[in-house]
Amino acid sequence: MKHTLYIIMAAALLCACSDIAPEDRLTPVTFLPENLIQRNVLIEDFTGQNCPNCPTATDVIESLEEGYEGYVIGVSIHSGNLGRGMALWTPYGDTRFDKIGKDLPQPTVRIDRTSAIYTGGNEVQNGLHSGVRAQLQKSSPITIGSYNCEQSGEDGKTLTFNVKLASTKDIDAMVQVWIIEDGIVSRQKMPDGTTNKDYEHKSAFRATMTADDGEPMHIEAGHSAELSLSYDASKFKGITDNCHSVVIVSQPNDGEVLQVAKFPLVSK
Amino acid sequence: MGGLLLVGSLAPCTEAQAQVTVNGSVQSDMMIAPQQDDRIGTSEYDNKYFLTNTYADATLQSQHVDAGARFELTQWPMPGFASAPNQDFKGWGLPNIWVKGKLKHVELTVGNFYDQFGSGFIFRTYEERTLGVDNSLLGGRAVVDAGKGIRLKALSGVQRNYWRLNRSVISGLDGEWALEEIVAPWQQKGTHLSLGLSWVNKWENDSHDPLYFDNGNYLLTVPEFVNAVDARLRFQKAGFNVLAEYAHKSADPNTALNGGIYRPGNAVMLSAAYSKSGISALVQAKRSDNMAFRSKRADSHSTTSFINHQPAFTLDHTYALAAMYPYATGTDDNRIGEWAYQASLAYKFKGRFAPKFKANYSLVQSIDRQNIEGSAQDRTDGYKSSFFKWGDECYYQDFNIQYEHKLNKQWELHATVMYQDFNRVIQNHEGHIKSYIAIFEPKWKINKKFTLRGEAQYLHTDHESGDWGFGLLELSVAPYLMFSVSDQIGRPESANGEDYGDVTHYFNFTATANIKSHRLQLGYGRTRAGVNCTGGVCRYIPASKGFTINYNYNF
Repeated sequence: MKHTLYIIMAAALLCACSDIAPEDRLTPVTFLPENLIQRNVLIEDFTGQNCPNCPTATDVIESLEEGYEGYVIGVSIHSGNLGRGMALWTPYGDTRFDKIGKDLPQPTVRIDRTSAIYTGGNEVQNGLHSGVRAQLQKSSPITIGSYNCEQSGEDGKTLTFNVKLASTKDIDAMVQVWIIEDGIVSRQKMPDGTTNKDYEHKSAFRATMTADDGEPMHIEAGHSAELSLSYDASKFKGITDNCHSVVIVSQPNDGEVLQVAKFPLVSK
Repeated sequence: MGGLLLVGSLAPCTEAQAQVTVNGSVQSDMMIAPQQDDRIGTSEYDNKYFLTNTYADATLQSQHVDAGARFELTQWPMPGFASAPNQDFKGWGLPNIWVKGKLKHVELTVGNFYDQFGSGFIFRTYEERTLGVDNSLLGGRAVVDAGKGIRLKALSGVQRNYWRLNRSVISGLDGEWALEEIVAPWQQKGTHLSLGLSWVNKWENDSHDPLYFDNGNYLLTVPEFVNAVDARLRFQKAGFNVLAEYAHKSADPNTALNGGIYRPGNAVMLSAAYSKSGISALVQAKRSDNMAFRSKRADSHSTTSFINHQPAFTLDHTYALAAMYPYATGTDDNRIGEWAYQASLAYKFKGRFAPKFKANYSLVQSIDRQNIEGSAQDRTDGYKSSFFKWGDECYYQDFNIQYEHKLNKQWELHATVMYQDFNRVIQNHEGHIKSYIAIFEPKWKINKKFTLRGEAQYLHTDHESGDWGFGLLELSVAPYLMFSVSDQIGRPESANGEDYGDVTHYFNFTATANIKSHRLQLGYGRTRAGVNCTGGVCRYIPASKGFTINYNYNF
């Protein structure tokens, strides 16, 4: 009996030691001050409309985009088993997803095509902030100088765009230009298992205006290089102000992203 | 089992002979040249030539010292054990080594060990190879027989997480007191009353694994120490048995398990059973609320780093169609608590060739949950929950009647009819699959050498997943051999869980040989994608096709 009493007293004492007052539970996440940011960062979110944990990851990415306005660019790539067959899925999205691995769980989120890969809503929530923070502080030799895009052709379905890049060192790079779209209302499975038929999807990948792996460019140190292409946008239902282009400059062979920028799809 | 006899000259203090016995086992599950099969949705295998989960363990036992070790080879694991990107299951080596000293009233273990406090609500470490679960502690444990019916345990260690050890330190104390040891009349009348009390502490420094709250807007300050206590009472007299147990866990915010809230957890269970010649009955009720307990907060995998075990109050079915939609205990914010009930009644008529009936009912219901709204700080309290009130979701319901009858010396019959209501929220999908299942299993002992067993199963449901059928024939050739052929027919579920393919045959052929301590099974066929569950803990198994070899040896 004496032994039992000692155990009860010790347990009660230790239970009391682990309480944390409500005002001490949360520390607001601070974002890097602007003077420490060296580059823009691309977040590729391999998501799906049938993926219940994906909205959690989406919320985290949007929080980062808001906190690092202009420096963090997220793209929702509907792909994989939980995206296939749904309105926002594209075959190109599967191609990009397969480059990381086969049959990966979703969401899978990748920063700048580095080894910083996070799977599952919880892993994204707990790891993405520090991963993005670290990547933002890495310098980049590339500057995306300008982007210009005009509509032409029948019904304005031909997009002619021009991208100028500068580099501080001689570099061979691949340049991809993607179309993403905000404000798409379509169904989405939610973390509680229900389906939200009026979910507003943002930054959804829609098409690539360049070749699948991009266009090769050689940029000499201290100089700028220019990429000019036309794209047939006739498959698009409509080009609106919700459409943006994302310019991605990366190392060859699907290497690490060197720089990224986001512009309105059609220049005003 | 091998034996080694040491003669007295090696034991100078006594003339007694010291005997050391060696026993162990080898278990190897293998797949040769696994095949792709688009019809059933196979994915890429870890190795296109050979896959295996192999375990070999050996134990030495002597009067005062036992020791053991286990070798594991899971570098190219069987399908479903190392799905990308979690490849942590892969590896090989000696992850389990231990030494145990046995004195008169004390037992000391150093190394890897398994143990359980009470029903496991606050502490249970175990190995279950079919699930890839091994959450042993590496450390030390002392068990003391303190006399007068009192047994005490103290343990401390770090938990195995595949081929690594989690950083947190788990410690615990457990006491059980069998009161009949001090009340002589109780012993004489066969009355048993035991009290149990346990405490577990987890010490985890959060600096290595930061956790965020509110979509990453806040960093969580997590408690360095999490404590859990458990109290239980067990009464047994004649055929009557009652168990009452309560467990409490202090605030343990964990974004994977409970969304990062500071609400404490608790579990309460009441179980009553009665058995007498020919009749047995069981009634159980359990309520659990935020009791999942992990040794690594940032771990979000479904089977790793759990310190405790929340038993499922549902029957573990062994028939293929009855086990198609198994219940898994909730381990995330979506199913943070449950009310679970189980009742069963069995009756065997008298007589050698008399039938036996068994009825079983299980119900698992969500608990009441009123989320606390407001600021992020307010929301760290999580939710309120009225104790006796149910939530809106029925997670699982199962009513089945089993009939067993040895008709005569040659014929034996088993039959089951069952109604099952499976809530697809268990699989993170919507809707219920309600099915009616009928199973008929005759067994014919043709002669002393040959026995033929068959199974015919049918599952009917109005859900778009459609009906399923299963047939099996198994021929045993005494004393060594067994051959079986089976086919499961139905519409496979797509990877996104929203669509169903064309009617597909999942055929299987096996040949088994049991010779002395060796068992070898060869097989070929298709395996349907699904979940494999034991005791409420489940692992997803992907579709696969190929040749399999299973070998077991005990010595």
